[in-house]
Amino acid sequence: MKEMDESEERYFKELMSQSKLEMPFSDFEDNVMMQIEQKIVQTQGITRDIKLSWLFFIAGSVFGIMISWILTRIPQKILGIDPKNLAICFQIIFAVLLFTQIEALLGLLKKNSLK
Amino acid sequence: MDNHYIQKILSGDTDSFRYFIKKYKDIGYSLAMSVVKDEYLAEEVLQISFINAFNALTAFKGKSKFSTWFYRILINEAFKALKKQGKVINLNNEFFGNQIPEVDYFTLNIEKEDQKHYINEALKKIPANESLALRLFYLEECSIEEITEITGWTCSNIKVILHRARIHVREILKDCFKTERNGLYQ
Repeated sequence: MKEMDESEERYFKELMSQSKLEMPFSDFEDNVMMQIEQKIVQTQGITRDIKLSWLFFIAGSVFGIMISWILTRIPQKILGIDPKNLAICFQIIFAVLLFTQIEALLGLLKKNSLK
Repeated sequence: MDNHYIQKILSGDTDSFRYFIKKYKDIGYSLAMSVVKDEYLAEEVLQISFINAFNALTAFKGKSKFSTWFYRILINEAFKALKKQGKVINLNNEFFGNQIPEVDYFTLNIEKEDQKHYINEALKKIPANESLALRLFYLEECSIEEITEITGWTCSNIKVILHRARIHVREILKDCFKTERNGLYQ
């Protein structure tokens, strides 16, 4: 019985060795390499854009802090509005923009690192 | 050899990836075909798998063989494609019923040149998990542990799948011969 099992197993192994299929599409290798190269270019573009986004974000933040600081130091009214009220309004808008932009940038960074 | 090319790719030589495509495209295609049973879909699955493998190469720590790691990506992708197509994945497929065919099917003499055709037809007809297990075990000569690592199935499950697969292949080959021979003598 065992002998029969072994010969059967051998036969099956021989039969299965014939089961390797050949890739029927001759341009497969070039297609994959082309897609990989496109992906690399795309990723490099995204990385450059993310870097630029951080640069403008930092520049905008510094600029916003400076305006906020200047507004609190102006003694006279601007267009009839008290500069302190103007500074509070500006700071609220600035804080909202700052947090939404940070969230968006971190999300983009996370998404890009997962790719 | 694989590690040498991985290092080359990681140091920026993208073209070295051709080595992996050349080396694994046929076996990858065979494994993808085991699951999806369609040559165009198998090609698509293999393409996505190669691209995913390339993108995730930095995450490959070399704890297992590159082939094991790649087959895992490939098989996940193949089953994902199968699911997308709405085909049911049944690990305990019983579509052949529970009857066990007699053992002497293997005494049938199949001509060497016909073996390739018959075995591939039989593998197309049996469930995805069975043809996959057969190809990994016999063609790629993976151990049960390696198949566990690749597929995520348990050892006992793989043994059951292999046992059923062998029975199903015998059954199909027997049917093929009946049809062919009847056709010949008519």
